[in-house]
Amino acid sequence: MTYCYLKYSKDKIKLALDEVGSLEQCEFPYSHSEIALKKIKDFLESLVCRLDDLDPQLNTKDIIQKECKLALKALASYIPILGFILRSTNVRNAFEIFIPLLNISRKLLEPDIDVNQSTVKLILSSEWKYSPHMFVFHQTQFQQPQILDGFILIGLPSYESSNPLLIPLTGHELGHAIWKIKKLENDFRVIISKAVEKHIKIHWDDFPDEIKKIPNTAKKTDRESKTENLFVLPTKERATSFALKQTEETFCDFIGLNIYGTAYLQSFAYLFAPKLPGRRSLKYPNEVKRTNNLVKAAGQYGFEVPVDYQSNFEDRKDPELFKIDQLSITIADTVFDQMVQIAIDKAETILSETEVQRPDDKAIQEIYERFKSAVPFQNCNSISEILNAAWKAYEEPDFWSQEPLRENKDKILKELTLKNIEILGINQILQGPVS
Amino acid sequence: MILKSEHIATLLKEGDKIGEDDPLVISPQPDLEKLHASGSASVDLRLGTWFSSLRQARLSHLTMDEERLRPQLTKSHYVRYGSEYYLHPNSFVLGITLEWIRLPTTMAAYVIGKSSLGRRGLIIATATGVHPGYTGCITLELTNVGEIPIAIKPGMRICQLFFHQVWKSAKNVDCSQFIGRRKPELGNIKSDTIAQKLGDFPIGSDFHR
Repeated sequence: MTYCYLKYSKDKIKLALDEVGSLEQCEFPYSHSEIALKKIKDFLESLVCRLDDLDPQLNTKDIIQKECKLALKALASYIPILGFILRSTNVRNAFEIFIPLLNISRKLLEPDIDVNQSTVKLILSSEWKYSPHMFVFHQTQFQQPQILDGFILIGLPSYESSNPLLIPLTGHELGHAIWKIKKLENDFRVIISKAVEKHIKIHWDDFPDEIKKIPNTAKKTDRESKTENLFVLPTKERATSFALKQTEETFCDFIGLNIYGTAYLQSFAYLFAPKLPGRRSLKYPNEVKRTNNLVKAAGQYGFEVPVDYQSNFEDRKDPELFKIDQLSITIADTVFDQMVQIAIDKAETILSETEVQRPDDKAIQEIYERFKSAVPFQNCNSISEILNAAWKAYEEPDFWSQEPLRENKDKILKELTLKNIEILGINQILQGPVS
Repeated sequence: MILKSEHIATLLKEGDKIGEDDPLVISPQPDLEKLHASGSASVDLRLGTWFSSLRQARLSHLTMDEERLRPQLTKSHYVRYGSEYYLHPNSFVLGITLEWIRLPTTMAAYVIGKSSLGRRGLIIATATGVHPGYTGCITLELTNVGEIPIAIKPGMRICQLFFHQVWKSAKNVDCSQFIGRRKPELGNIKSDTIAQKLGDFPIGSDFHR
């Protein structure tokens, strides 16, 4: 018998390749999307060749089945990326932000390499969900073949993908890239795991009886048994995992805050206030706590917090959980609180080791003054300063008093901001090659 | 009165100062030293990255009395720096200046093509006027009247701006619908009551007998 799934698998990949062929006809706003597409195409072709080489007469059913599964799994992992690349060509996107954002990404992720020698590549796109999103490809990501190493893919909400006021949120997404590249998960896992153990030992008496059962075979001290007992282990693992994820998201907030300052707080409020629908995601601290942490970090970093900022946010309800999961999240929430200061310091240290400069108040004021005259500021140093000035103007209802500027304020302000970002990008191109 | 390059360079330098009340601005700014020394009466502007073309396959014709042109009838294109847009013979596309311009209330300007491009068949604009107080990029009407396709590149010098002093300073700024834009737009054609009444007049009515 010939194995029909071998043919099916090859056909599926060939059809995906046809689609890649169509995507190649798109008008690409910059070369990085094209390079990624070419890499995916080469990879899919290699999958077809691999399956072509499988001779049903020479290989067992198990081998053929396994190869097909692997190929289809790899295909499935790249389908969303193809969609992402397609959306990166849509003219709704603000392509002007590409060069300045690539510059920041390179300075952040490869601080020891000259920005023009860096291999970091960026694809800016949009997602049909109201949340910024990112894929990071780096050697540490073992689930997928390493064909897109060094690529960062950032997607803004589709119908707001040309809204420059949301750009500061890309700082959070870049935080995820730093988290992965610097392997911060390993460092934090050790600290969090110890903190969870400590918490369990201290609060042992409060635990439900069914969890406190200690196996008779355990010849360990009572103290060790509390955290190694088979019933406690899953709780400990889940708590560690939740606390770790919350710490990652919070660290990313602090990276965004460090890069964009007050503008990050403002775009964060734009996204989350008053409250997103649905229940809380356990990967994040609840909104009020998250905001309080941002305000605390802003204080340490020396950024101004908008007046009455925290009152914009509301907590969402926790999802309905089994008792044991509720216990895990309670421990995670408590342990996470102990990680906040460490994450604030870590983000500050990492940024201080790069050439990414914090927004300067004087420069922001100069840009703001130029915006008052409805013109870009010629000598900008950073996208962050432009965005802070834009947010300052956006928050001021009577920023322009004269018609037609006043009537069309938001639209003109966004256009002006994007033009200023483009001028910054032109200056960066003229200073050296950006490829 | 048309301004000479020395005067324009001086005004641009003054307009670059923070807090200037009614500045002349071209951003990115041209090289003021070169402009000052050029002895010309205009400033060259460059081509931007955004283009807008009509979706010909979806249009039977355009009427000139539409109050609002449906946006789906035009298509935006982004051409990155280093790439080219091929303008074929007899084809037409809207482009935009790379520079953001702001005119003081004491000045107006005209967008004129460059003779070197015109001699190759590229027509830039049909005497586009820029009114006092205008701020934004300037939409260009690009046509190839030659016989072979022309490659145009974002960043290239595409047109020139002649500045005129306005006789009496106007307090009001330009209220053009195109103000504050970075992408080319067709815009709407303003309703014209006289043309409307003339157009509504019944043909073959008693009036003609």
